Amino acid sequence: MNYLTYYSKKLLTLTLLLVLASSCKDYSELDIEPVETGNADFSTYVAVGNSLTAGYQNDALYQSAQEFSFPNLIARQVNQAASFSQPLISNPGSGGRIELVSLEPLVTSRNSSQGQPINQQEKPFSNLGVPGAVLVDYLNPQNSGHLKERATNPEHPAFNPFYSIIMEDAELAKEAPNLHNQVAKQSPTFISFWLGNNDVLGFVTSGGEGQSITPPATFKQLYQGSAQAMASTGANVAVYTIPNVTSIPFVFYLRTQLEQQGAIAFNSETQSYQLATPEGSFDIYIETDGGPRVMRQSDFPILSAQAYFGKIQAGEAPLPIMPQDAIPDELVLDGPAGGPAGSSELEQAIGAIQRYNAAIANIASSSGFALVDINDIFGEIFANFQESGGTKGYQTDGITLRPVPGELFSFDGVHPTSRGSAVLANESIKAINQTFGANIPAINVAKIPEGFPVTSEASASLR
Amino acid sequence: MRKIIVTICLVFLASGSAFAGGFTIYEASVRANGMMGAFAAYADHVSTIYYNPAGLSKLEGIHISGGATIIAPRSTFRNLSSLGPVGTRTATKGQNFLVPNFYGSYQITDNLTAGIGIYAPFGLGTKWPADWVGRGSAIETSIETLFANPAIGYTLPDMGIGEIRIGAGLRVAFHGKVKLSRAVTSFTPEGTFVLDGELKEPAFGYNIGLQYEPMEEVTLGFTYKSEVTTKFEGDATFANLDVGFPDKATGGAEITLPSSFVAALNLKPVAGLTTELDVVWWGWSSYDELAIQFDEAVPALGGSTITNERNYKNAIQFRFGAEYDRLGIEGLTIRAGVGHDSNPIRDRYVDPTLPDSDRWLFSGGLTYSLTNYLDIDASYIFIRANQRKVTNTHEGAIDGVYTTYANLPGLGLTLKL
Repeated sequence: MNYLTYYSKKLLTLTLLLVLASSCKDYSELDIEPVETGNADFSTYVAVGNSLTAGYQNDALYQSAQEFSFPNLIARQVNQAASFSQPLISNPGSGGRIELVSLEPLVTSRNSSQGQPINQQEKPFSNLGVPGAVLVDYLNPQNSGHLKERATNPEHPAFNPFYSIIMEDAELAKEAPNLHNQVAKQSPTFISFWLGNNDVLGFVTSGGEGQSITPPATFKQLYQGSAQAMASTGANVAVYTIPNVTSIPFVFYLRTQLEQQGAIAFNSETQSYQLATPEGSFDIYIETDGGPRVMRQSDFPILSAQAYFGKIQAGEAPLPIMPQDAIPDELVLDGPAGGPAGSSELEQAIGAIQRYNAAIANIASSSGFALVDINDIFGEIFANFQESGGTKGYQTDGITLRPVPGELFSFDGVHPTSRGSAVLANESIKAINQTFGANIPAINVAKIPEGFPVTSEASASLR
Repeated sequence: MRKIIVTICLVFLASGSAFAGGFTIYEASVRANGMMGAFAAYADHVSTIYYNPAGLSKLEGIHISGGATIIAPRSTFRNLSSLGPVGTRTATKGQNFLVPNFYGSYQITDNLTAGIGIYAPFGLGTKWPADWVGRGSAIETSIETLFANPAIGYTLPDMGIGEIRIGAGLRVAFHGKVKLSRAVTSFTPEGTFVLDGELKEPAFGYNIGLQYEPMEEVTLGFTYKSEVTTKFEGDATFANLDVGFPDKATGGAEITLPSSFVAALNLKPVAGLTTELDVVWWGWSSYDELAIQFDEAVPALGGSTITNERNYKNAIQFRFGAEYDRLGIEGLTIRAGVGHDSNPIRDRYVDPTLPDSDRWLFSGGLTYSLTNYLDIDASYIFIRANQRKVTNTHEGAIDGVYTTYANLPGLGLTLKL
């Protein structure tokens, strides 16, 4: 009988003890398995690049997209997210963000309001991706890239406000400020370096009419210098190739869309693109440096020509079926048309990219850098898309991301979506794992929220 | 661009585990709580209407009992997903749920007793901070139900093999509420989806039971509760979601509450001591998907139905309890118990609506008879759920480590006339 009393008491005591023990909330410290980073050390990770590195989406830099910049996602995968700082700009961001106004039918518009930088005191930032940055910005020898003027003089034709948001004032006050000083100052153990896109993209997005292409020889020299400077910090480095312009929707998507709508069609007999009108099909004229001519298979009306085609379809602009009504040059990336070989805008861009990428691959292999061959990856995605009649793209984690706005790419047609960024991060991780014998886990891309910007009634009423 | 719509649909409304094991409430009586719910062969209290209606026929005269258990669950989550820094810790906001119970019985003839019970067999909820890393999976989730259970118990005529009691009851779900809210992260700025539903119409099920007492010291108990298919209907609101969503929609879902089967053995080894072991089996495998049907097409969902696979497995609970009433203090009975519950959710489907996991339960309780007619019952249960690490989770869930515990004090009165 005593035994039974003892037994009951013991159970009660145990219960009470457990109740008391419940005041400590987690049962154990979270045993975070260390990530196997192999020969790479991510304890101080610095990302160098342009808008693609910054996490720019939908033509704006804003916090909820920056959260999914590919460098920030890499930092999360190597458990360094807490120390990885980014120059956050509150939503809706740097201005002009493309937002969804309606899903059915699909309508977008630009949000003219702007957000504010929110964590400027955290400079120098780990993410030094500056939208608009070109390769010369990394070293800017004797200010030969005019970084100082572009960053600090609002009157300068190429003024870019992002430099002063992302770089330290003290650096920009120097005679020849550069990104490398901001990197070296942080004593990085790992650097991701993806510059060079804007050395050709500025040319492409203006239909060949704006910024000129950085000559490949100059590019190679600048890249070599940048690689040496990075190597001198002792950090492990991953570098990225420059994707071919024809694999981004900004270049190919509008033409594909117009063809799918039946608005234009390629006539294989005349080897020209023709506009479908009630009166029949007529050759389309485009304006080129060599004067107006017929649009051929290698000519691409770029995404910014969307509004132009909208006007044509609404009857508000003359049909581009006469030389004098040709599609304006800045809206078309024209391909070879019988002129001197390599003289067309498209050939110039593609040729430059090929030589850039050859230089990047060379320098990466001689420097022991990881090479993330984005050109190859995007090329394959684009090929999948074309060969499948527009149904395939990048297959991962049970989802398909086609290289079109709203899937792999954001609505601006150039910059990836949050999921597209996760693809970039995974491809980076793949290359890093291979080069440095690491075993960094990949991101489940399907779990990354799309975060499509939408026009909310609140912000609409402000305008 | 059609794809946009499809992908949003895929991850949109996966909250479904709200109706899982951890939301079954086996605490239907303060007296049974003390025994850790090992009560299906016990036949000395009117709450047997819930635990095994066969026990009714042993109750003489009029019995009335009422009480309540407070359930205070606390959960934490530590992030392992790519949605935020690894290790970020979030705790649920402390919520205390009051779970009432009421029973009454009347002996009609020597071997026939009728009674009614009102209790809440499914309920609870979780509330996470609105800005937490898993907000796209769940912010607030709650469900509450009330059942009425008229029942009769009958003692079979003596056949010389000991006493055999049988019982049956009708279980009517007459009140129910569900609430689900979560952030919609498919858009920037994020929106909020809230579903506020109520039980559309009473839903019916039944319970049957058998108790066999071959000798005074041994009782075997068996009882079965049928599935109850409930229909919930309510308003879905889409806050800050101006593109692709109506302001409001009406939606409904059919939720089948699972059947259960209990086998129990009650032994009285020495005078004053009662011990009991119950094995409770829950038929959760019938819960393979949750479909929410809206009465109009929602463009952002690409249709009017959201179907979410759950693929639950059946779950077993072991409950052991003991009671002792010869402490030398007149009128005092003490109880203690221990239990172990396995949970029905596969790792892949665990989400923060209900971070369920296998768990240990410990109970203590007492009854003090104030008079021959009136008893005060008190109980305390502590639940410690195993820390659960989930990776590679289903759409709508989030990878991480969940830790949950709960305290459940209970107080009641029993009247015997």
